[in-house]
Amino acid sequence: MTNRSILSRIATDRSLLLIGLIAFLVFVMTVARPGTFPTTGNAAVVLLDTAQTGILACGMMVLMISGVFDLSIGGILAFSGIIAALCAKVLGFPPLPAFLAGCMWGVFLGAINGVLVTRFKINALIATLATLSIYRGGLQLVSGSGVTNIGNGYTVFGQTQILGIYSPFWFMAVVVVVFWFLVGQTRYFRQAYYIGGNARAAKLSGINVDRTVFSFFLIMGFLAGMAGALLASRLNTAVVLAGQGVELKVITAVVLGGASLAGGMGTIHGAFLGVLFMALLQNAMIIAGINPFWQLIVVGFVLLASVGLDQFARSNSRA
Amino acid sequence: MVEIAKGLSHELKLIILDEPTSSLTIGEARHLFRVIRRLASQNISVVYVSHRMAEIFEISDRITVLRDGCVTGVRKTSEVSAGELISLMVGRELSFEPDVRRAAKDAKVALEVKDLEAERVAGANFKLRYGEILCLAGLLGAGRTETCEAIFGARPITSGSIAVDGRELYPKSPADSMAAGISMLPEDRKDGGLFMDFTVAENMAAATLEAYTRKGLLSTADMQAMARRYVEALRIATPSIDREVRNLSGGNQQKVLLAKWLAREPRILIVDEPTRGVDVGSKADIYRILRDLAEQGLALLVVSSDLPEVLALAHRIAVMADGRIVGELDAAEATEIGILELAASSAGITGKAA
Repeated sequence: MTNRSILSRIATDRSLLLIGLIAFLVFVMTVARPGTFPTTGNAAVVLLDTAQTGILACGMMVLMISGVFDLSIGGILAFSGIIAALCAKVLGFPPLPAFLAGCMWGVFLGAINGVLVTRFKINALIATLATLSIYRGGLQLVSGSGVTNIGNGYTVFGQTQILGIYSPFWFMAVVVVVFWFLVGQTRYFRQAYYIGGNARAAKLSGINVDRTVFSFFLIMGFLAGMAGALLASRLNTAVVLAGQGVELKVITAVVLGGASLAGGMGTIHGAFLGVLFMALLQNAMIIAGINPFWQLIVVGFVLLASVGLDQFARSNSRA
Repeated sequence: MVEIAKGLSHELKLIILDEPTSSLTIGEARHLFRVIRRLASQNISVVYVSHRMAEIFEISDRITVLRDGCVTGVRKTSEVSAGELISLMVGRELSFEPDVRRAAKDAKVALEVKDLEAERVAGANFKLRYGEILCLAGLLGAGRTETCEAIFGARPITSGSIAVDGRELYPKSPADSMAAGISMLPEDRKDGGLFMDFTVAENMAAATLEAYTRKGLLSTADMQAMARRYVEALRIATPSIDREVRNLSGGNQQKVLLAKWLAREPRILIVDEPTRGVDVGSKADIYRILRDLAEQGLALLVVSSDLPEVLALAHRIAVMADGRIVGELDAAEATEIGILELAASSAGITGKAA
């Protein structure tokens, strides 16, 4: 089954698999918990839960297609939330400028990651693991206990409801649609596949590999900043520990959605389906009353299973 | 070598060697052949898979020829000629004889390289004219690949100059050289040339993405039309343009790489090792294509370590040693010995071991 383009191959196989899994999960839960699971209220909860990981997964998918990733997104998210909250509360910015300040702070932190990886050629794993620690430390220097009770109208981004679902979901929906279009249709983002497929060949094909990957780190930073600013708005509080462990959830969802650690593969709709599946799985475990510690274990197993699937598919198609 | 030793450490009756010499030096290959002969004398059967004619005649007793998965002939080695084998392999008679030389001395200079210096390039000088095939010959490590990379912007230039059509070019990246009308097929197609897990069409489009882009959006239909055109024009054996290149033979992979760079419609084409790991049929096709391109007026710079190939393709031969051009030969008067003497003696003068 090798006689298809990368895009169609991933799109069909992995997406169909995920849609099947999602349908199966919904079916089982509807039968097992007819009173609590299949309700509009619970659907709204699940969809809201996809907001943060969905926004982050778009940036992570682009990075992973290019063969790199960013482990510092949790730190960027929390730091940007603090910056947005401080701008709104202490500096008295109106809501929109405060929100954008959070996003821009994310871009700045993403730029640091990008410089380390593309300019100083530090392995993305090490570079972003280090900046994760730096960003988390930095944000606590700026604000040791977080910013509570932001006020000043800043909650407008996170607490507005449209069609019964809180606005972060709609932010995520717009981001996913925009990235689905960009990655699927534009030349600039198609370069990501070539870079991840063979970076040296991409360079010798005239692609400016370093500049392009750098721009993808900026995008990741922007999206993480946006997720942080949104979370602060949703909670009316910027929490120091926001986004802790989010990189694991996001990478799991993205790998589940068809990304390979080697790069060159994956789609935005795959990433979104991965996010949706993870959110449903978590929701199902909560409704079923499964111990939260077991939930962490399950997330770990899902990551292992999806990476295993990737390895299996690769060795199979090579044989 | 270790792989082969591992195989030998078991009790065995039959050993299958698939292109065992492709990663060995000549000395190691000699040693391997002695081992194979010893095994054969101990009543052990050896199946030896190779595309190298000289090896096949040296080592085998009996030859089975396969083409497209079918056996096309079984011959005793002592009773068969190389020509007969080749026609069994490709299903038609082939000629590797040099074509009629055209001096092309009055043609316009396409590329002029003056005192070019880069890492492992120490002052290369040459001119390349339109309609001409200039081969860079020399020993391994003579700086041929490095010279090509410097011209293509893939290796920082420390001094000297490059001129295309008389205009100075200081490429800082491959994109700069590509914009000046230069295409380059790198030495190792798996490393710097092809995206092995991507399809034929995706590979062919890699260097020409902007040509299928309108307002930032890619047209897949345009990409596929281009790919179909080149699959036909270069006679690439692939079931479809959506086949991943890793599933193609070396010869067809090389043709895909050629298509990728011809799609840019270059005026100067640099080809580093045009037929390494390529079967005889594709080899003949590639020679024909390169000659046709020169005839259409392209300027070709070819690097090859295969001396018969140099003699078959070149209009003019520049011999390199120690990062500089040590001599130029007209193809009509060049011989393998002549090229080797030039390459080896010059390398010796500077006291470097080849």
